Amino acid sequence: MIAYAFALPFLLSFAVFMVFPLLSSFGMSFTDFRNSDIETPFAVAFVGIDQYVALFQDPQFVRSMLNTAYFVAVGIPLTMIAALALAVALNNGITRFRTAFRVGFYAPVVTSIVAVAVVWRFILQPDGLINTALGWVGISGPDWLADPAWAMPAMILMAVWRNMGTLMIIFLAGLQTIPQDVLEAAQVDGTNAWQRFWRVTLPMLRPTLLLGAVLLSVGFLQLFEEPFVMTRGGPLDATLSVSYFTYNEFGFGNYGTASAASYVLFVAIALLSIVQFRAFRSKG
Amino acid sequence: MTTLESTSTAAGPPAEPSPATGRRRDRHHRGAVRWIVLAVLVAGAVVMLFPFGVIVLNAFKSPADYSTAGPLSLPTEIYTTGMVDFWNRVNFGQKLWNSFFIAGSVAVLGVLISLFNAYALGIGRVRGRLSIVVLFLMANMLPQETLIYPLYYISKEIGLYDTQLAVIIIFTVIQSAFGTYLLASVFGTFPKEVLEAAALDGASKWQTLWRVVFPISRPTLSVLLIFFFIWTWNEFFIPLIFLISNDNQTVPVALGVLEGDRLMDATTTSAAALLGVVPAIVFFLIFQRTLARGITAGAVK
Repeated sequence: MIAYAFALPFLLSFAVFMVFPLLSSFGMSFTDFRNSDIETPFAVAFVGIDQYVALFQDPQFVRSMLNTAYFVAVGIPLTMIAALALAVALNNGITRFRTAFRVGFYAPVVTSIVAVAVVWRFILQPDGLINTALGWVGISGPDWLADPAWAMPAMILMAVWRNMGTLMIIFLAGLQTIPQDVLEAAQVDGTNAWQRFWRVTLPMLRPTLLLGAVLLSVGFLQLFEEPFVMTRGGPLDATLSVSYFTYNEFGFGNYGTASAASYVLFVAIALLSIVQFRAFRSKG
Repeated sequence: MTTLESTSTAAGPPAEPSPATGRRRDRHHRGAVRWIVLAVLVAGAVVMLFPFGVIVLNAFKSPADYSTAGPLSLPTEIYTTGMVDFWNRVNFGQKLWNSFFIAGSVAVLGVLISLFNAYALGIGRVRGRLSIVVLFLMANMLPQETLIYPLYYISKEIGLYDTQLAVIIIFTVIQSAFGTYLLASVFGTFPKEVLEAAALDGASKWQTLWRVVFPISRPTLSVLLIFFFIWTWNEFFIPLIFLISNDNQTVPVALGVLEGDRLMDATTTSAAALLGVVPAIVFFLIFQRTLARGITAGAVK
């Protein structure tokens, strides 16, 4: 009984500011609620599952799902590989300067994307720093943010930059829980460093890799800030994510559609997490 | 999941390389590999920190200097007029205080509430606690867009719209859902004997919380505090929608609004970006040691 007293302040506010919004937006996702209905709540009609059917027939929404899938499918493996490589390097090679490296690689994580958007524009603009560097080796780079084919890779680049630090630190911690004597035993058995990494380190790192993958996919599926500050979802909807689509629908006053879209995203996040739990679950 | 104690070694020095590799040729080889690894790491760090370097370079450059020499040159003189103008134009001191007040309140309240919840769930053993914890985790996975209209509606109805209090309450609920999830799993492994001893000594539940549980879990709590602060500081979407009047805006919202302003030249924008980035970086540098120890709290099964 006393236990409930401790949790009461939170349970009350959680109910009002989380559960109620959740349920009401779930309900809203089955209605044609629009901003013009705010004065006349009785004009709202129950449309049921038709809302979702219409949503999946909306080419713009389908486009936003494909964009988000592209971002997730390329961005997550890239971030994980880069972070794992860094963590392994920090764990094996370096003892001095380790704190400096950790701080350096983690710094992008603590900065707000809105603030660093400015400098990314310097980097990505047609005569920007990337294209200047590409020019040195004779490649004429694209207009990253204005080219429908290259805008999403630019978003992925930014996301990898901003999220690598978190994963690096998590992987570093995971690496240090691998018992040294297991690695030594493998060495005595005549394996080389490369084999030890694939046969010993990686399998033992499974739970840590899982945590990293789940954390990333929850964040990456909600892609919003990068396109919001860099491209406004353009060019030609090339960086329009599901979150951005939802945001736009709210802006247009289509609250029913927006709620339905955000629930589709929620289901996608939950499904991807379940798939990852199955894929990475340690055998035995 | 594991307790902090067992992962606190993460920040410590690594185990020494095995003594079995004593041969000279091997050591030579290892030395060379080390230098290559170090070189790659330095190159990586330069790339990662490059955007910050560009911000600093251009924040102290005059617009004339920028237009003749471009974004990569060193400034010919330290130019601060742009930064001062920007500070005064948007009343940046006020924005800074708003961000600090909101992030600080959320961090303190969030940690306090997480502590109460986790104490109840993890140690007090509320029935059905697993489903409660899962509910909290789900709340974290939910896109904020899902919540935004009902939240907007509620805060309008109770007169909290466009107040900092609304943002503080919303983020306290969101962050403490995560905090409860993390702390409850840490408290699940809390040594029972300690609690029983406290009960035998006649301590009430309230006293046990503050005299026993709080001191022991302080490392985890301080990590949560830092995380909540930085996360809330950088939040953009909900403050953008809830804080419409100029005097209430946070730093990221003020910067975001200015982004669209075509009158801003590249150097002023850099100065603004620098002002926006510095507080979070400074906060991070002060607490990076605590953070490095605790970021792994939930990392290892």
